[in-house]
Amino acid sequence: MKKIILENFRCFRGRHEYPIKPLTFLVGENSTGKTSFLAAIRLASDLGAGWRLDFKDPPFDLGVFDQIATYVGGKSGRARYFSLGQVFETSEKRGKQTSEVQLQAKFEKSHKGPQPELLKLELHDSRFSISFAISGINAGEPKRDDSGYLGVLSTPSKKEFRIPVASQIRGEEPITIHDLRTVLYFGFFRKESDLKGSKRKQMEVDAIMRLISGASGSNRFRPFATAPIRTKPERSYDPFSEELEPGGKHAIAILARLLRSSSKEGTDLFNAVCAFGKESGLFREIHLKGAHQEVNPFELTVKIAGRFMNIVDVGYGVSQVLPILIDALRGRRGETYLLQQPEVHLHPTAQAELGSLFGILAKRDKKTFIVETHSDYILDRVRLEIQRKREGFVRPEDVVILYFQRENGEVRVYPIEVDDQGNLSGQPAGYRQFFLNEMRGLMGV
Amino acid sequence: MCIIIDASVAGIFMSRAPEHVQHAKPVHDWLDSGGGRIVYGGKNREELARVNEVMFYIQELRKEGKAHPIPDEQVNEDEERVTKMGIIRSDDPHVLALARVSHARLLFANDPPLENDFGNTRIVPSPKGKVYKGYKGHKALLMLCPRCPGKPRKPKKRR
Repeated sequence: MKKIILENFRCFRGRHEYPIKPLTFLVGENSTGKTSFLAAIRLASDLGAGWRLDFKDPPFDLGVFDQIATYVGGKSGRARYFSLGQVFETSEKRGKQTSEVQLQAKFEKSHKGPQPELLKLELHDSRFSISFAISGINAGEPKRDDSGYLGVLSTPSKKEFRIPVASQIRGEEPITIHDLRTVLYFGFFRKESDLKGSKRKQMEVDAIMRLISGASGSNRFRPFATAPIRTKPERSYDPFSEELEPGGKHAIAILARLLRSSSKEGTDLFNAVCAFGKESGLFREIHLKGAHQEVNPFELTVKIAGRFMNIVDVGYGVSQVLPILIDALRGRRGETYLLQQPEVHLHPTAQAELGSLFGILAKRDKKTFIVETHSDYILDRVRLEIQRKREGFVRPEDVVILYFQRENGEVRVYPIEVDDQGNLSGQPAGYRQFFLNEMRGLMGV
Repeated sequence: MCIIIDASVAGIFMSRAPEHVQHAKPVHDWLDSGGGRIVYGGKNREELARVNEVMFYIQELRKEGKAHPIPDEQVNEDEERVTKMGIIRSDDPHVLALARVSHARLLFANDPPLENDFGNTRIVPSPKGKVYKGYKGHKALLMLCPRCPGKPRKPKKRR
């Protein structure tokens, strides 16, 4: 995902596009839309991957249409619709060329209930544009547009083709990006003589199919979102599920399995977690007590100085950061993480170390970290590593700080870039006003 | 417009003592809302970093885009050139080099030989450098006015 598109979504009034980079930090005061922004990223990714959109999927609970659409005032109160989308890159001609593709979905209030209903799905790049009017399909009663067709396909030859409703997508299931392929192929291309016959036209059909495949290909992995507070530590853990859970309890189960197996993956994870523990001053080593057999309950112990102690008996920061560490270190290459306040309960040393870890994993494993944070220590460490030109650390052009600011009842987002000296650019006036005022207050000026 | 803070006033710049605050406050106000910027680099950076408060304050200003670091190499290289000129009276060639490299022509200092050198256009080329020595009346404040960079103006006479 290169950019996220938001229109009348929560506190983001009007249409906005914001950059997403491998290391994206969301900063700003409370209640400025940072968590909504994270939720929007996951929804936009689900849209591209062809998942059914769930506006209440933990850890995010966006509510119903009236809570999602921007408040615009007046009699109606809420905007009539909201949109979500993303801009992503697809490669053509064996990766030699890349082109930007925009995928956007428009929602309105459902007539059947308070939930949002998909109204329109649009996909376009510099050559093709596919637009689907979808309202009514979910009820099994396609409400065609005025011309009696479902959508419009525009091709580079400036021709526009009306797309009829395809019986294959009628039903109770909401339409997804995958359905576009079905609609176009079975409901349109096979019958549309204009696009068949010549080699050039066949190439156009192939290009449209690639466009749709690119949308789902660019969203292979569902972003993993953590809850703002991780699960409480326990004195002893019973064997439990490894199914991903925002609180991070699954991470302990994964750690137990990997350490028990003595596999290379387990050893690498163990070494990486211990290395972070030492650098951050949190702990020197971790150990599972009584985890010889899968069915046995086990204790998670950590060595801080001298002897191992149960995780309940050491600082809360250890249990809060462990799930983030385990998920970030063992996740697949290219995966995206939506992290809310990873710094909670951590000393500044450990917070700063998280900044280093994110930058290294973003570069080494091509992972994307979108981090909602109030920690200056994480941001300052990232700037410092860039200034030091640390080997294996993400490049400055792959870092962006999105600063959320309330202005006249609306939220504005300012993308702040970092240069190769760690300097910031693009910050609005007053970006650090609070901190400067506090400092000047202490100085008595 | 950019200002250089000399080490001779680093203590005054962050002091809480009322007799110092009156001199530093106009600079802080100017940085806050008057369009002022600090430049630092080379030995000047090392000197300022010795005072913790100054170091933290400048880092905050840097995040706000109101403090610009000049690469040490550039300042150190020019410092050698300034020393070789053989005409400077002060022992702060690094401050003069910083002014030449960054094009900053305003200095907050309390060091007469340095003030002389800073105003010497053979060392710091035109436009002529100005030195803010602390609050000493209206003229000193005009130096920090965003509308009249560096050049104090006489107030208009009322008819």
